Amino acid sequence: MMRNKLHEALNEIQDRHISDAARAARRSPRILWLGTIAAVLAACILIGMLHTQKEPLPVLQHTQPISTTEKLPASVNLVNLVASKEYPKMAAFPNYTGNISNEAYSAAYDIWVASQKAQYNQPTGYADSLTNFFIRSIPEVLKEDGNQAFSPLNVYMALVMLAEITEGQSRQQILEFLGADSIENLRTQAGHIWNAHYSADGLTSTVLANSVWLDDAYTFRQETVDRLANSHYAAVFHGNLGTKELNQQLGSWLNQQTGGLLEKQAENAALHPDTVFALASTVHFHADWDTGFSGKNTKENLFHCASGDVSVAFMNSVRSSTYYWSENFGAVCLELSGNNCMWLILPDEGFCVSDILKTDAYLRLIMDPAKWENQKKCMIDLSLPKFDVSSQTDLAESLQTLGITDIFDCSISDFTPITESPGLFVNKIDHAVRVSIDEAGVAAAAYTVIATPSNPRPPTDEIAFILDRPFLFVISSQDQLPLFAGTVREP
Amino acid sequence: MEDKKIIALLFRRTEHAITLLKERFGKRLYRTAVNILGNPSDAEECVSDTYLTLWNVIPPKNPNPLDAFVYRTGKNIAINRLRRNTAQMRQSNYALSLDELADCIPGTDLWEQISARELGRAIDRYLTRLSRENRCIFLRRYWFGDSSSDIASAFGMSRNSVDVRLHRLREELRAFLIKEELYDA
Repeated sequence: MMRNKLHEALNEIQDRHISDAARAARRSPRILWLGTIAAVLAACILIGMLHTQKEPLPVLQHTQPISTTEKLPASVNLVNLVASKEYPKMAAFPNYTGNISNEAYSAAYDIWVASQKAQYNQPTGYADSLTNFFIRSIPEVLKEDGNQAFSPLNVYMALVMLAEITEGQSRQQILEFLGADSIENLRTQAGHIWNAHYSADGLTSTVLANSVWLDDAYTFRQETVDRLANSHYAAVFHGNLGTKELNQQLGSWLNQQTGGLLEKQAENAALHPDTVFALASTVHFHADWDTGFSGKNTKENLFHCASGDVSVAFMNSVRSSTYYWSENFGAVCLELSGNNCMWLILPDEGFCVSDILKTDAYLRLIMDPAKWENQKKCMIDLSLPKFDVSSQTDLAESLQTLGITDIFDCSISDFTPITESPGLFVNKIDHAVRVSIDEAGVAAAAYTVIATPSNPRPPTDEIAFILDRPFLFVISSQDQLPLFAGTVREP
Repeated sequence: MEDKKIIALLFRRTEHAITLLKERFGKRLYRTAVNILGNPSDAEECVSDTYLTLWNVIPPKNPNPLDAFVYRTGKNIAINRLRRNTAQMRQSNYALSLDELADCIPGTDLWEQISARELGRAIDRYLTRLSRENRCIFLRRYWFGDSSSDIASAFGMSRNSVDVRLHRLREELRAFLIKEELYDA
């Protein structure tokens, strides 16, 4: 009765309002969001530079701290923070409690929107030159068997710092890999990427942190150290690298910046006693599902690994979403807060994750889904295993395969922008990543044969998208850049 | 310009008009039908019926603006279909959105005394006072039956922000209707 009357009443609304509402478009692709805790991700990378023969040099004259916002525990005197730059301030998202007047809420909301716009006001196409970096690096790092995880964003930030402290061919190889034609342009681009992906408004958290660790026995160029601090938000520490105490402090910093997610990996982040300096970069990302899963629909089921079936908890939900398909995979995009997305890419029967990684089709989909030809809006019966994937790898070999070679060879490496000491080389690039997801929502999934269509054939209106065998995932940002990528072969 | 072209083709009984209707209004018609019927296959049938109806009524009708007329036609066809199948009512986002809106209409005794037209015109006056964004969000939810998530996606907001905004808009509508003396406080 009431519904009928209301429906009839709504028919009285003027045509111009209806036309306008139907046409109303996206206000901004960057404004933020909310949900329930769903995905937490962290990555860190540690690059240690060794001397072929450690020879004590005059002690560094300490500079005055730019600020002391990142103090280490007072009990530790072996490590000193000499510089760090304060992070941008962002207005907190105003929580609506009902106890606030409309005017006050509107004012707080407007401040938050203005803060978002200011933070995310980056030029169009600022990351276009990075496509090749993603295409080359993701399959190279994820090629190994077992669960793998990789953060292109994290590695990019570390390589930008590495480019700052190298010269000549050592730098040129990094610039070419990152698609930059000069260090100045790379620096500008890194600033855009840092700002476009930094978030601290209480709704979504993406914190990128850099640090530089300098050995007390060496002299470093102040200009370069200052540039790392000011242009790349790097905290600068000095001390006796390679000692047990300093390694503990390094582990503590990595742990702190990654929200404790990489505690185990941080414990292993020890520098060799011959280390002259080290660079560390972290990403801590925490987002919520836009549409969550219900815990009551989480059911144990079989996941078909290469080594045999294992029983794991599957989160289940039925949702109206877009299904994407190609000649060898099907994909859906789960929206996360902050306009981020988790892409789930499932190889068709007869194909494996490695086959998907052989071409750049999945990246083209992620970076521009609107242009993907084979897509259809339909009801998706989703069954996704809960997973907590972590991996720790030395990227030195992968980077050499990808063309960055000179920094690993002390006879040709060039680190003159940071120190005059000859004979330096990179001995390891330790990349640790952890991706953990859980539910906040639905579904019951029995083991079902996947209904993903083979080859370019439109799906039916309802799709069972059951990730019960190895698959690829990618977390993409609001600007559709791949922040994290990984494979789940044994959840 | 595009709308005039479609109407001209319909007047000339050229079937290409249907193709243009699909291209221009198909997505929104389908989404609204799914919102109302909660079922993709029923929604597709409903959208096909809409094109047929439009073919039959234009001419003699010559609607301006065309888009609102198309959406009204599609919506009414979906509602009629929904009324024939009460079981579907439980899956209907649109029905749920109406319940949400009904909760903010003040008074119970007077609910019966006011005509739908009177209520609708009051809501229209209220909408005219709103900012464009608020009016569009309100109509996306209560006229088209879009979910909060869909609205959030369309307007670059979080789902929570949309829910908060809709809550405030309903509260303001309630106050407006009381002020207009349509209902007792």
